[in-house]
Amino acid sequence: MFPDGLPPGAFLWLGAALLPLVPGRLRGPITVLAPLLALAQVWGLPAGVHLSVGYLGFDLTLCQSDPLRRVFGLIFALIAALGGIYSLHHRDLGQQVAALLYAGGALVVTFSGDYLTLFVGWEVMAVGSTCLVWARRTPEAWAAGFRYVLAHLAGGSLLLFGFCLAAAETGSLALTAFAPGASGAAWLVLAGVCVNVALPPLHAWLPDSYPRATATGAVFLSAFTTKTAVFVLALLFPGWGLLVPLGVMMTLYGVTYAILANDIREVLAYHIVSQVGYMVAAVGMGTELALNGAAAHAYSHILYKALLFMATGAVLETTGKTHMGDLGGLGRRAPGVLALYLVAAFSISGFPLFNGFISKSAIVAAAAETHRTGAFLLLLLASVGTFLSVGLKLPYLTWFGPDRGLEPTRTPANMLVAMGLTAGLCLLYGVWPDLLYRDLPYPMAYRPYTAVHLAETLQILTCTFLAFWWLRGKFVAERKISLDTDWLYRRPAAGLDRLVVGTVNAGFAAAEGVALRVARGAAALARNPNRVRSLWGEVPRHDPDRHRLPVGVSLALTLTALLVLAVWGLWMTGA
Amino acid sequence: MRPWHWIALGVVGAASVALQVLAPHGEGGHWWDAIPGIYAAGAFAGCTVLVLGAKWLGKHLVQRPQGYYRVP
Repeated sequence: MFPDGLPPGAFLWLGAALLPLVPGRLRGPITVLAPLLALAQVWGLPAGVHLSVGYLGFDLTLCQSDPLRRVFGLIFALIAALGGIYSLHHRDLGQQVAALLYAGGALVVTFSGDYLTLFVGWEVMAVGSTCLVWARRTPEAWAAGFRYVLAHLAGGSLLLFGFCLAAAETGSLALTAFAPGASGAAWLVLAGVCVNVALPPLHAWLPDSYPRATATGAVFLSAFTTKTAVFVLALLFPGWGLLVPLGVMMTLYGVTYAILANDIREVLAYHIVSQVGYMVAAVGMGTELALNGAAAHAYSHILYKALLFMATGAVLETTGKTHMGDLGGLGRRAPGVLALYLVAAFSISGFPLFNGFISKSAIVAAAAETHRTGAFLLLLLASVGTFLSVGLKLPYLTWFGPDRGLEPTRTPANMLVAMGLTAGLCLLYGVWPDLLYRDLPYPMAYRPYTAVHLAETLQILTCTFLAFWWLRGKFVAERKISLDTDWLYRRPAAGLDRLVVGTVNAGFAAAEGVALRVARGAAALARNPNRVRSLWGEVPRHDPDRHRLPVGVSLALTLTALLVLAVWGLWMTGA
Repeated sequence: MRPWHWIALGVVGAASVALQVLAPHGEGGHWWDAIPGIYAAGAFAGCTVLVLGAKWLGKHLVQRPQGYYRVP
């Protein structure tokens, strides 16, 4: 459809560059059209290298495609378009540009074939996503945005350092999978990727910032950063066994904190950590089924998580509230949003006929297939926690709980359309798994709809509901926060500020005072050189007519100096 | 919850246990797959442990008032 070598991310970056130049009414359509053009480009892009250039003696591969890149590229472009529809009612140019830059960065990373191109896309993503957090324009969003960008700059630095070492070792910038435990470079790259994949304890930027972003910005945030990191993990670190326990830990860490969370978008943010844990564990297992499961779950997760953030964003947009203590009884007043939310909640919980069922089960099956019984059981336990928080607690306290008398405003039609399309896709892939399975990196023989698997899932879902109903008195929204690993840098921040910034500022202030005093003394001395006699006890009485030298003296000195210079110059030139 | 909700839930639960007992178990399953309702019991126990464990953790270790990070 388009020139063969054009990287799909270029459509979004060109769109971002175009936005400030066109009238306001055209900007919204461009935010939808640019991702759709990128989607068409990804769809028609055959496997292979399509664009490479030479740079400082290295080959940079700006556009490379293969089945793994294709499946991630498809969903990134698709969700950028759906996010664009969801945001159509906004006229915030900054957010529109940031969203296209961010989504374009994800596509650049996905189709890059070398370290440098990947790194450029990675950093553009950091800039775009930070702007989406700041776009809320509240003091909390500003502060969270700064913490967010610092975390990502640190992660990006680790990544760059690792890439430089890897390039120095191999003499090439080409992206190739690292053998498990291969080198220091590999560990540095892994650490950098783990920041973006939100692996505890490096994850705190996520639940800190996503709940504070704008309603529309959070939809984009939920889709790209962590899933791009999963893609890079699948590309560079397949079969690194260490990732299995780390991924399983992520699944349980996320669900535990989600039970404690009191803000609807904080619940969802912690469940990103949890769901991405499934993908990380799958990459660690490294089998074809596991890697297919990781890609499929990333695809499904992007759809249902975006829909969850869309529905909770609609709550924020129409009520101005996100704390569950302020919400309740919205089901009668916004049944459409509730229905669309429940599609996403059923999907993430792994209900049959919804897309989470066909992807999460592939990862759990891969754990069983590789005889990781502990991981298998703990992943099932995490799925219990997912249904508990996202499928039961959140809707119970938001739409079904005690009526707080809120009167939500009308949900913009474009938001409902975007949610409807996303919900339709969650159902479509759930009912017709082959639609997704055929695009996965490896042939997929796994079948999710077996009697045993259905029986297992239905038992888990029904008894999770029973346990929730029994313990529902425990789910009361509290005016509390949960300390996380960001405590390590947020709590000492004031003391560190006093120590580092305060001490330096005090030093500068003292030096400035000394300099001013010296300057004042020198100026006074210049006005009256006789004051120097005060040093040995004399107190001179200053009389300008008597003590100040006549003008003729300085004129004579100047003329003498010029004369000496002229004679010296003539002598030097031998004249 | 209305009575028919509980009836529907009971029917689904019973059907899932019946399906587990009657459906042929392929290769690669676990020994506990043959125990009727094992996943139901596991989910109930797991959910209870998660809720009580998280609440205990929150009360004794991680939960603080909302203004905790505000600089005085």
